[in-house]
Amino acid sequence: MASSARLGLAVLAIAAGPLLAACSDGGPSPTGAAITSPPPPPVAAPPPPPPPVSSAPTFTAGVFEASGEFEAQCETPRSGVDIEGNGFPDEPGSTLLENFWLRSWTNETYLWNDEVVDRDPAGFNDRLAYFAQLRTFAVEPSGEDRDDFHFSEPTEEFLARRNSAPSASYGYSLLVFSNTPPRDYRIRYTEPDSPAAEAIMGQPQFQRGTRILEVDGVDLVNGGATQAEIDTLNNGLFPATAGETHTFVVQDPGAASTRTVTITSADISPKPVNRFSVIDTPTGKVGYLLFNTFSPFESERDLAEAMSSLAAEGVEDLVLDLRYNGGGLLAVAAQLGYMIAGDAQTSGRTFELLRFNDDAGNVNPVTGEFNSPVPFYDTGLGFSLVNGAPLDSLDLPRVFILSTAGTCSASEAVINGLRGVGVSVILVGDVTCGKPYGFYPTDNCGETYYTIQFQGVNDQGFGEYADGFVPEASSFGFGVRLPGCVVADDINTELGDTSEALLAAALTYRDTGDCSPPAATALAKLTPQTAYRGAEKGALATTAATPAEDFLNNNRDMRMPY
Amino acid sequence: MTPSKRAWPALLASLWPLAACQTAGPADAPAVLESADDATMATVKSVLAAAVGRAEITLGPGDPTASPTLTVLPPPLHPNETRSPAKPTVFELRLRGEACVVIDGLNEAYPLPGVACRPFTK
Repeated sequence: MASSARLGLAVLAIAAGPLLAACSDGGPSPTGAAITSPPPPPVAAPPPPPPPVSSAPTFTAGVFEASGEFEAQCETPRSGVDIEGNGFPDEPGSTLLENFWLRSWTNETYLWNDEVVDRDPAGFNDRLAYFAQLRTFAVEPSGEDRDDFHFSEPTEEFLARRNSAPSASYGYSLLVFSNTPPRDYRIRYTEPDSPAAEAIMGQPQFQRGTRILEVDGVDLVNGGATQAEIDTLNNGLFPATAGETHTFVVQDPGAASTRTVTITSADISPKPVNRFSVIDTPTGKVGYLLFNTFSPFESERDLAEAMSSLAAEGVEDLVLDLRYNGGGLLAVAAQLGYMIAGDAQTSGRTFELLRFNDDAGNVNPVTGEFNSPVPFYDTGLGFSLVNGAPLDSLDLPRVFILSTAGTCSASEAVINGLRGVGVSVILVGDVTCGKPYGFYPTDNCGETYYTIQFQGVNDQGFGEYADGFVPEASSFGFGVRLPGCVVADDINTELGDTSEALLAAALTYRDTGDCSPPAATALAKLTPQTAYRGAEKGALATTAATPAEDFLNNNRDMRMPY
Repeated sequence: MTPSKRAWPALLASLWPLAACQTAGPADAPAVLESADDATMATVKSVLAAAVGRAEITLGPGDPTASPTLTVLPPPLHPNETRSPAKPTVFELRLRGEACVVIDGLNEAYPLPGVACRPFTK
């Protein structure tokens, strides 16, 4: 153990030695010579790690060693580098040491660490079984678990998924109203400039609401009796590679007849801003913006460009369509908040503060840094806009937000952040997903763990919306009620069309201040599911878990039984 | 307190240039690169990668021959990261005498060996 520690120090000394001669005091070099130090060492070969604990740790309830004492001491250590080129820190250890790391890490970083029953790590010979116990089991007034975001996945899969390239598709997003015969698959929306959106003789290949009836000659509605038919359906619906051509028989909303679509797949990255427009009304211009994800770095630029255009048009209100937006980058959400509200309402105010467990004080227990509030950023941050580039703003006192249960996380942060500085949020659609929480996925010994580490609170210190934001007329008895209307997602009308039910309701509310018919329709009895390929062979499509859109975009081979 | 093992690559990487210099001094002047050719950018990326403790990095948008700011993008988001605090890491190009360095948010300097800079003028 001691020799290991000395070796680590020796390596550091050697690394630092040749460079000390080049030190300056922060001012100009006395000789005027350029610093000629060699390039820094590769990070793929870390120095020997700190010494492991000398003996098996012992459990004393309520007494926690620092997680660093047990980190990367693995039952099955990895060697080499990961797909991002970073070296593994693993060294030989045991499941017991991994469990002790989980216990200490949970105590240090878990939001509700004081609600975790302190169990002896030695009582579990499976690290995942132990991790499953390291959470609160409290239940919210609605009956929902307080923590329903506690899970893990192999780090190899975590890294592969976050580094996945644009995947083959047609550029459509599917909704599944029924996954058992008679199946009902509809187009939710299409990506701009994708094969699905391409117009042939003036007719888009697919449009919102289009129902798929056949795929490559196999009946999607009632077929699939054999494995060969199931394979044909899945291969056509979810092409594995770009350049595949498949043929569909479809029926558009309101159409009595069917038509045939022949389409070729391409590698497609979903566009964060799917579309935006300006709606002229007798009482002024209204901006409409369909924003589907905060995740890709391009979301910063795309959003800024769209908002800049809307600002240049002089819109006096904004309908922000977040119905399918499951979240992503909190910083981009803060930029969006600024671009809606403007400087006068946001200067010096907090968009969101990450609230950690009670033991953390003013420190982020994950990064060890001071826990600074997230402001309403008024410039580019360098994701895809130049750092410091000023953002335009609409300077609105209110915003209409279109929502469904898919409106989640960073999308809800926009609602909460704006409310925190007094911007009125009118919610049209359905109850949002209710996720005021976040985490830093963390690897140890080849497993990446997700445990809730912070709750986002706004400038007023409010973040209690685990049951979602709720349009005021909703029959749902929990959540945070906002002015607005309960309206079913209108799958039969194109998004951005002023007759689409949610947008129409928002425009009506803007004119009248209420949800007069026909906008205030009851929610559909059918609950659609987002289609994606399932894991089980021999079956078709899907039930999507949240965040559905991201699962759809990143899981290309999912199936489930029917 | 024992440093995290995951922190060791970053620690070593940060100590390497820090061994050669300390925090930015008052005589440092904002700078831009003389050239953004492949060799220069390879050196810049190598130093910045070490500074953030990662093997590979991607730079954010911007022209380092015209602006003194460099940004390093965070790793891409995993689909489960729906409320991610990730942000680009910002570095400033500075001239220290005739030496070109980058400065991080903690005012720590990392030399850019063999890279030529010139003073930044607005």
